Amino acid sequence: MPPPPPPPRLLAGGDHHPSPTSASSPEHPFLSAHLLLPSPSPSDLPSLHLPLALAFSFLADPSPLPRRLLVVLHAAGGRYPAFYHAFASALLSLPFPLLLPHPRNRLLLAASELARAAAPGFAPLLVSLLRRLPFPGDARLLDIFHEHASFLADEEPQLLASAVFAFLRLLAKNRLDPAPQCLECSDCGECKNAKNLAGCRENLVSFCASVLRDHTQVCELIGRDLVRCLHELVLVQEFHELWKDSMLGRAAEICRIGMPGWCTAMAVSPEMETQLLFMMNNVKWGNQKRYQLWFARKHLMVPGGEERIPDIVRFICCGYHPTNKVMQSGVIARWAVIGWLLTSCNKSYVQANAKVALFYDWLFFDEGKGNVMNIEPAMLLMNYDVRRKEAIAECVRNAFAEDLERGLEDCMASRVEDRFMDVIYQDISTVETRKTPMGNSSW
Amino acid sequence: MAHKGPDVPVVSGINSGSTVKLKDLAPAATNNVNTTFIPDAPGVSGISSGSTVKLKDLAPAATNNVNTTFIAARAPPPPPHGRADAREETCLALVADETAAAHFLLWGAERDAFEPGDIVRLTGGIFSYHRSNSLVLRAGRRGRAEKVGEFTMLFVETPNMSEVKWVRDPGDPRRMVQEAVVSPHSQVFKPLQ
Repeated sequence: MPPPPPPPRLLAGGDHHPSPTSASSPEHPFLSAHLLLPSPSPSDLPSLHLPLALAFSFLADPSPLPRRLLVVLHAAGGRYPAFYHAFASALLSLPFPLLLPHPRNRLLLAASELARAAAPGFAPLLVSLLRRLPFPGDARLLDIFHEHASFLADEEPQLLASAVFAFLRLLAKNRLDPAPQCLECSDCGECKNAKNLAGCRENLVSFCASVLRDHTQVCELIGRDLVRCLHELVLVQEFHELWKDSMLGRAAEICRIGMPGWCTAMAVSPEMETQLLFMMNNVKWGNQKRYQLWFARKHLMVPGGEERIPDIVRFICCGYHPTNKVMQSGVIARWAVIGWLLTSCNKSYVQANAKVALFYDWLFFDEGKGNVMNIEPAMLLMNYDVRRKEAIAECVRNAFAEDLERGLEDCMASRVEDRFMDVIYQDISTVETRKTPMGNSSW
Repeated sequence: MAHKGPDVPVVSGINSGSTVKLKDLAPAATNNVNTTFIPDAPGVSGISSGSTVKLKDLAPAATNNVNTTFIAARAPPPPPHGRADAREETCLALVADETAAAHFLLWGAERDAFEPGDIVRLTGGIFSYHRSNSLVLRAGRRGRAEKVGEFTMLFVETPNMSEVKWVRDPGDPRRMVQEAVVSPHSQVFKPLQ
């Protein structure tokens, strides 16, 4: 009798990745559960292995998805309140960049099913997928949000606002690149029909415009970065009209709201976040170059990668505030990481947007409520690198000059102009020329 | 079967023992062990029983028992195109951990499997002289190098254990001891300025 075929794989990986049978593989717990419950059924409901075994079958079973898996999912979710959470956590525990095309499409299907049932745990799963945009087959994510927009506006406004922010950023110039079709799973109907957001840009624009129009208050949760996103997209007809009709009068008010924590997380992918935080928490001055090269190769030197720099700058300014202990430990400072990112911009519009991103909180800084740590990198960058000060000043001024022409409200325009004069054109001679901890070669 | 809640043992009906982890096993004449395990990956088990070492503790030896984890700090240039024997070539990479660096010899498919910034776990590797007297760490025929992560590991480039001159220990000829440092850092991979 021939041996049974090996279980299907969830993650990519050849001879030089841990085998799924090795305890260090993220696939290991899934495979173990699958071996115990190869075909989950309603009689398995009491099993502790069911969340992982069901997740494995959901992701790996060939097309079409067996209906019994949906029956088991909702039967278990109905009987045990924690089951949906356990199922969603199991899906979240897999390293998304390594997922094979078929399991990746099934993960989206699982997210869609959990969202349809408003099952506990669906929001973190969708947030995690939004942070991974763009990826092959990502158009299903737009379908999920399109289908449930009204429900989400009432029940999960933060999630809907996160989606609008993620999609608006994706619409920025040159971010969306046609993703290659997955060839590994070309004979499977589900995978063959998976669409990419790059191919449905118009749907993306109309979704964002409709949510901005119908659920304005939800979108305002994003704060001033909503205005930043829309400024970059003001040449798109739909957003231009929206800006004139409804956003113009509220822009000054929205700009008073800083970037909330959940929004800073949306600005970068989880892998970028891990690597940036490692750099700013562990890597000492002078040792950062290799890490910067690796980060650039992985995240910036890819299609649409350089265009993410402004968002990375926003993440560093608003999403990570080091403790005094970290700041005194000799690790690379935030302003130096941002300085390096600015020098990594080869496209002038990316560089201009990155500088605007750096100074955004400064321009709208409210001394009563604003967090000084949001503007600290900009202050220190200007302070430590006086040679660049004028070039940066000119660039930021030009970027805002365009914004002013685009129709910022008068009172806001004057505020920006006043703050700009305060910030950028203060007497250079009053700025103390300091050396960086490692001398003048800062990044 | 009556539902007793989610804590019912998976293999029910055979005996009444609860599920245990392998570490909790103790010899007994009762057949009540309920546990879950899967066999270890073939090719890894049994080749080496050495414990995990840091790179600074490497010393040349003709045994394939080096278990260590390092980050690939510098990779070789991509293989030349159009050469049929490119797959069979070996090349050097600079690998390092927080204690030291070393030259790692990549063989065949290993060349494309790792890229700079990858964290690699070497099991059953060997640190010895290869061809023209160069001292390298490698997986060898029986060892295994696996990517287990990326980026999040600190490392140093000095000392480089492959740039050390070793001699036999006069007290114990089976051991090698450091005689001199040839270069504080790799002469193949120059440090970034």
